[in-house]
Amino acid sequence: MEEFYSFAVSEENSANGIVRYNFLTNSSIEYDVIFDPSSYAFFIEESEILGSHLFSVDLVANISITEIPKTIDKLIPKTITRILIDFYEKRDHIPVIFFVCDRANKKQLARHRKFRLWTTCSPDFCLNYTIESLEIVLDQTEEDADRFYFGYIIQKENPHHDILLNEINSKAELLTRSLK
Amino acid sequence: MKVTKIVIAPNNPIQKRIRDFFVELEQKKRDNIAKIRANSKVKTID
Repeated sequence: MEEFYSFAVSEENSANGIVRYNFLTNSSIEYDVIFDPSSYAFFIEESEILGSHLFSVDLVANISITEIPKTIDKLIPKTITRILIDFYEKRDHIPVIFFVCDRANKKQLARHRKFRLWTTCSPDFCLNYTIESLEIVLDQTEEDADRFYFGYIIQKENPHHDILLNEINSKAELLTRSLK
Repeated sequence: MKVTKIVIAPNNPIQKRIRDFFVELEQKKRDNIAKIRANSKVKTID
C-alpha cells in the first residue's frame, strides 16, 4: 500500500505568491493544500528576518463539510506532511509556516488536532522541524471559555531558526501582555 | 510538539484585544480562501 497519495503542484501563481498543491483520495475527495504568503500574518510580517518567507497553510476540500466521511483516512496527514516537506525543500528550508485554527463551527480544537496530526505523523518530520502551537484561553466562566489556536513550523536547518522562534514567541507574549 | 497554553482571566481587559486580533486574523483567512474558491471547485475550509 502506498504511504501517501500522489500529489502535484496545481498552481504556482507568481503574481500573488500563492502555491497550491492538489491530491485525490481513495474516496474521490479532492484536497488543495494552499500556501499563502500570508497577508493575514500581520502580527509578525514586519519582521526583517521573516521578510517574504512567511506562509500560512490551509487545507480545503472540494466537498461540503457534511459530506466528508467520518472514517479516518490515515493517508491524508501523511500526504500533507510530504507536501510540507516538498514545499520546504523547494525553498531551501527557509519558509516559516503557520496555521490558524479557524473557529468556524466551533471546530478550532478539531483543526488544532489536525495540525498536530499532520506535523507529528512522521518521526522524520518531527526530528527536522520545530513545531509549536499557541493556545490562548479567554476564560469567561468556569463552564465557558473561548479558545484560540495557531501553530507554526520552522525547519531546524533554517539559519535564523533560534532568532525566528524567539521573535514569534516575543510577538505572542506581546499580544497577551496585560494592558496597564 | 510544544504547545504553550495561556489562560486569560475573566474581566482582564486584554481579552478584547485578543478576541479582536483573532477575529481579524480569521476574517483575513476566510477572505483569502474565498478569493481562491472563486476560481476553484473547493468548498470547505478543513
